[in-house]
Amino acid sequence: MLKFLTLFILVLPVTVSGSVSISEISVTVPFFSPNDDGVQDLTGISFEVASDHDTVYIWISVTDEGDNPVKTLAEAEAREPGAVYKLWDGTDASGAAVSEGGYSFEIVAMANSDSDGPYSAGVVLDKTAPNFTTLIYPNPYVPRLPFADSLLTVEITGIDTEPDDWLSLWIMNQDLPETLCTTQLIHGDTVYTCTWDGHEEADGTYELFVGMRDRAGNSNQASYSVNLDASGPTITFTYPDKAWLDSVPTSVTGWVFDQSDVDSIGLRFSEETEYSAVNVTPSGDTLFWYIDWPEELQQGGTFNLACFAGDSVGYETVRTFVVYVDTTTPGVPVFDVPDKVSSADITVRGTSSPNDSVFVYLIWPEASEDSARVLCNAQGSFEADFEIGIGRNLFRAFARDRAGNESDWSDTAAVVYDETAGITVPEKLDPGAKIDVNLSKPASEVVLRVFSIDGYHIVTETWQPKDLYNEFEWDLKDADSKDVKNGLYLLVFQILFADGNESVEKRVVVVSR
Amino acid sequence: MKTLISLLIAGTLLLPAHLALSHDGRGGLTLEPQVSTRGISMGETGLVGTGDAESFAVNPSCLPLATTLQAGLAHGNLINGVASSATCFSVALPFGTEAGYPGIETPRHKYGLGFSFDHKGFDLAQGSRWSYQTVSLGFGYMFSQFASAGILSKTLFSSSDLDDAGVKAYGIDIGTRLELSPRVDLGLVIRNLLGGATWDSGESEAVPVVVNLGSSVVIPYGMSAEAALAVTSNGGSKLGLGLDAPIMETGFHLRGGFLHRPGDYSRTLLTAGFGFRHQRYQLAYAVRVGDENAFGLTHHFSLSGELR
Repeated sequence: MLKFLTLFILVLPVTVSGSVSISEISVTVPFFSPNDDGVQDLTGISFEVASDHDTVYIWISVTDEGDNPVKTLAEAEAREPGAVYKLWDGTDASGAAVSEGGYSFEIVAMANSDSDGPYSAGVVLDKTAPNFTTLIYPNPYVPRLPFADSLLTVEITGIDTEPDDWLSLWIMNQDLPETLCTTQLIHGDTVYTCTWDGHEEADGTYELFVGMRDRAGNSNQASYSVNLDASGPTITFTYPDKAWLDSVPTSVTGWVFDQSDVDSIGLRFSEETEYSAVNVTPSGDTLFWYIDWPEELQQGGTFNLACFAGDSVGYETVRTFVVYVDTTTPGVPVFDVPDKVSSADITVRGTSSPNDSVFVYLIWPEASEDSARVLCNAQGSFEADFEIGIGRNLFRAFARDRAGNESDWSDTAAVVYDETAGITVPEKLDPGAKIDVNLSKPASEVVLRVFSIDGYHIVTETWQPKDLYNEFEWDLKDADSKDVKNGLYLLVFQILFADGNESVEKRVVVVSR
Repeated sequence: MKTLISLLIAGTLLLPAHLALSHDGRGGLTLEPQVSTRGISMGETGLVGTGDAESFAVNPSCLPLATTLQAGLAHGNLINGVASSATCFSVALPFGTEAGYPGIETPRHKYGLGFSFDHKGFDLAQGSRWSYQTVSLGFGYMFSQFASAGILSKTLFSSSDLDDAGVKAYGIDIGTRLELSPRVDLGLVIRNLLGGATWDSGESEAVPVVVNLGSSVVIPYGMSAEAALAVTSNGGSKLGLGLDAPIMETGFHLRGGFLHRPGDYSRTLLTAGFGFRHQRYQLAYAVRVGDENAFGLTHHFSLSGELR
């Protein structure tokens, strides 16, 4: 091949005449880092070749600082005059990565017997990332101090850094990055300082990031936690877990959390007593605490529990929890209901103790499982709505106070639902409308005769009542099972009683669909 | 004329049969006029009018029979045991007098106009009131001494305490009166032609058509017997027979009759009453003795007279 090219080069001047020149030589990435991080992993050489010939031949090679050849990128490569661009990935002829250091692109162009070059252009291969150490203070960060002293300071000391390397600091605030500093180093391996004002920020842990990048694209990044402590410890009671208790609790428990160390904690049982030390079990930034209920307070009453905790940066918190210990049994509910009602929907009233819950049960008829839980008002009265059945209905109730104490069952209250004998017909009859026939005594038959208002007979229905209280339905059809027309109708009810008597009642209704 | 009369009779007999065979649902809004008190006392007859204002709405072809301007006021109850009433005011005005026909002492009029206002009210099942008014305008024309015809336009509107239960309705009656002989009259009325009712609920439906056929026969001693048959397009029918007997020449008339309503609840009602005429005024009373399992006993009064 080389022989062929040599021959070709020697032959070309015979057949073609003209000149060749190289210009606008440029290295695309003067500092590069072939470490496959996607940043400046390649470099390249570009230049312009001008010639009168249609074909020029170029040679491009890479040499190290001792002018030793490293890799040939083009050898007598024939091409048309114009722009040339060749990449180098930092490997030698065998494909192995070369070491860090300075390298040169050597370029020559030839056309016929004319040539230009060699020209040289330098490039630096750098795979070493800049490094740094970081000092953050104060941490925990307590921005309540005077402003001049209350900034968070971050000191970064460069290691293996060079002038023109870039330094960036940012902090994650509510999941969004907030840039604190971005600067290009003037000197290598010196100390750079950046500050953050957290006065307006909420209590919590923030993540601070420091990043550094050199000219070759090598970068290094580290993150640090910053504890911004703007409040006292968080105090939580876990037991008692409710305010109203039906017995004196054996202990009081809870936990305290603070990202700064908790260095004091105590609990008192009333405003008249001193804070007592509690037993604590640390778990990270959380202290689980408990204290036995004092022997001298083993009685019912109101206890204003207060837990005190202070952290290492001087913040303090007091959390109170009022506990009502009620060991008394609530009063038994007393019903105030009528003996007899004429409607299925009734309101059961009664009295118990103020603010007690009253559980009212409809215990008869047996099939009924209706019940209601109602709250007594400040006067101790309660009301519960029920739908009852014909005949005798029985109610019982008990009361439960806020502490959970329950009363005995109340006396049974009886309410008799007794509908007045008579016939109730909707004045405007719709399909499916019910006709209530309440009998004063047992009857064998109820006969309904329907007439149009001008006297024509429409239909006769005969019903057998099963009870004193009956519900019947006229389907608005005539004797031929056809829908009656809209209009005014006379309904004549003939009731044949079991004792042989009978009665007749008449109603006028409107049928309007 | 005989051919016309034959056709009328045949048609009258066939139409009820047709109506009875193919009726839709029973009941519905009634546009039937209030029968005169005299007619009620004679088994709800009175289809062949006597020329008084009270009866023209039953058959508008009788309007030319009025001798002069007449007015009448009738009142009665409709259902025993239920607060209900029917009040009707009517006026009849004949005009276009023709010379007396041969053998007729009094000259007869060729035309007649009539107006009536009929109010019926009922207490509903739970005490609400439902009432309706019917305004009727009639015109009668006498072809000859043997035949007359008339038309009556009726408009009904209701008022009620109930929501969405009101109705408006209209209908046209046509009627004819034939004098078959000096003693026998025949009347035929077809009611509620083109009739319709529209309810507040938006529902519209046809008003049942009613065919009325009636006759009046003068019998010895100045008495007259009357009969009336009614058949409705939705299956209803009734037949009435009555007798009117003058008491000497005192102006008193005793009347009686019965009304039969056939069907699955067939029943027959007795009716009775009296009338008294003094100069230009008439007073009438009727009682209808019905089945207490239906409408029961009802009473009816009327006062009518010639105004000029």
